[in-house]
Amino acid sequence: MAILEINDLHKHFGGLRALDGVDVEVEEGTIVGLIGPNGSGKTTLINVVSGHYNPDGGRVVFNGDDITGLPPHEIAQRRLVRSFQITRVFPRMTVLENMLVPPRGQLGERLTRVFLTWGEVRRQEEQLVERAMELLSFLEIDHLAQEYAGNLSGGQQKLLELGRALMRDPLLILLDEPVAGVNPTLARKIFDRIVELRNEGKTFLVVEHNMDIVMNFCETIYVLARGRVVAKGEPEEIQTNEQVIDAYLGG
Amino acid sequence: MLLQVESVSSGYGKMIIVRDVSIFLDNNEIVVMIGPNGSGKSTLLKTIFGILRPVAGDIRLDGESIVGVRPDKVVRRGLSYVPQLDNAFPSLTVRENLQMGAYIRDGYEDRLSEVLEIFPILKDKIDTKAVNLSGGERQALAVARALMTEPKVLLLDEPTAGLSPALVAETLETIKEIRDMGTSILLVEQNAKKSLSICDRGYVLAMGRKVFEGTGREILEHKDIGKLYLGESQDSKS
Repeated sequence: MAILEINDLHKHFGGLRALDGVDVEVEEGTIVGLIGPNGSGKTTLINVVSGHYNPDGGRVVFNGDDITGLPPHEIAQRRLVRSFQITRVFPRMTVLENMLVPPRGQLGERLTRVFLTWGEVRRQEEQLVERAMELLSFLEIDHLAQEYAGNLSGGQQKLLELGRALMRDPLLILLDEPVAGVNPTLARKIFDRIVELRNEGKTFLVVEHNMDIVMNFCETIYVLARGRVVAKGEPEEIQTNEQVIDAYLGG
Repeated sequence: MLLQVESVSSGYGKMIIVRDVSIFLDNNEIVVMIGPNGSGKSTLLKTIFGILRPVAGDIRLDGESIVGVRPDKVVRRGLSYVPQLDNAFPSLTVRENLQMGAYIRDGYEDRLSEVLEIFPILKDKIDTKAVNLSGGERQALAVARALMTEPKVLLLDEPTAGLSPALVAETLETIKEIRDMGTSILLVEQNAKKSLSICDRGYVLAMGRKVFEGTGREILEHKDIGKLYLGESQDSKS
């Protein structure tokens, strides 16, 4: 079953057709790659699907529901979560605090609950901290849990960004260049983990320029150029597609 | 020796990131620094450029210490630096950005045409605001801006991050061209294999320390480094 269906999506900026009739279908429980030259519309597509931009035409159907044009927080509530290419961590909060912001339905957010059901609030918070620390340790930044996020290196902030997306317990995760600036060995480990999460039923749509990663870990690859899908297929087909080699991979 | 970094330790406040690192850069060299995230590569570049002051050690350019010299003065001595992020003025045009890069020069027109020869894609976009450039064009602008001062040494922090494979190859070719025109380059990269294949020498940093140095080939062929830092698949999982 397709968990995400993108039909004839259009997005224009002035005269620029950033998305010019894009169709993408993402099967549940798969890792789908989205590649293409810089400026081909990949991030715009993520922005439209996650509700950060309103499309100028077309439809986005997630989990059977039409989510076209919904605001980002409503889309996130449906467990479609994204990460950002340029990280959006809170610099003056610690790494652990950053991780504790995304989870939904936190009991401690209601003042009355804090007083009336303190035990429950605390239990939930302990569980969240435990999960956050597990993820941080997997991402190899657990030693920085009490550090201000603003003090992390560029690559470490990318890892935190990914951790925060996972804290939301999403069904579908849109990752915008999750391993750009991440050391190649760790990048592979992260994708090993993404495969595990895929096996548990989660779905990934990944924008990425790292071909080692894309060709090894994505089941289906879409190639975007000038706002259109110019190729779609398995890694082997994409790697040998002349048009893709010319426009994107280079000789 | 063009640039010599000797036993430098540096960091932010009490957090020491770079520990006792010694590296050097000679004339007409591309030297690449690789290593895990948070290993201190960017911090070392910032320290060389004078944004951070080392807590120990010495940094010499052409034999003269530049420790404690502010970035705006370091630039006049022939160093130039392209940060990882926020490396162009988004609301300014390409021309204005390049003009800003030349602020220590009297005239900039002659240098502008030289730099545009290296980055022809910027020629067509000369009056475009930087905010409207694509990722590749913007990185080209950042490097071009740093070249406006005709530096002896160019410090580049991940110039290929977020670029398509074809553009990565193109950018690395351009870096070779820049070297051949007489600017030495100290390059921080996560596109480790590709950058090691074009460099003259390389250093591996981990946990703030220099753990290996050698030619690009030596690093590429080193078994443990391949596994630890270059993303080579591990035959058996621990």
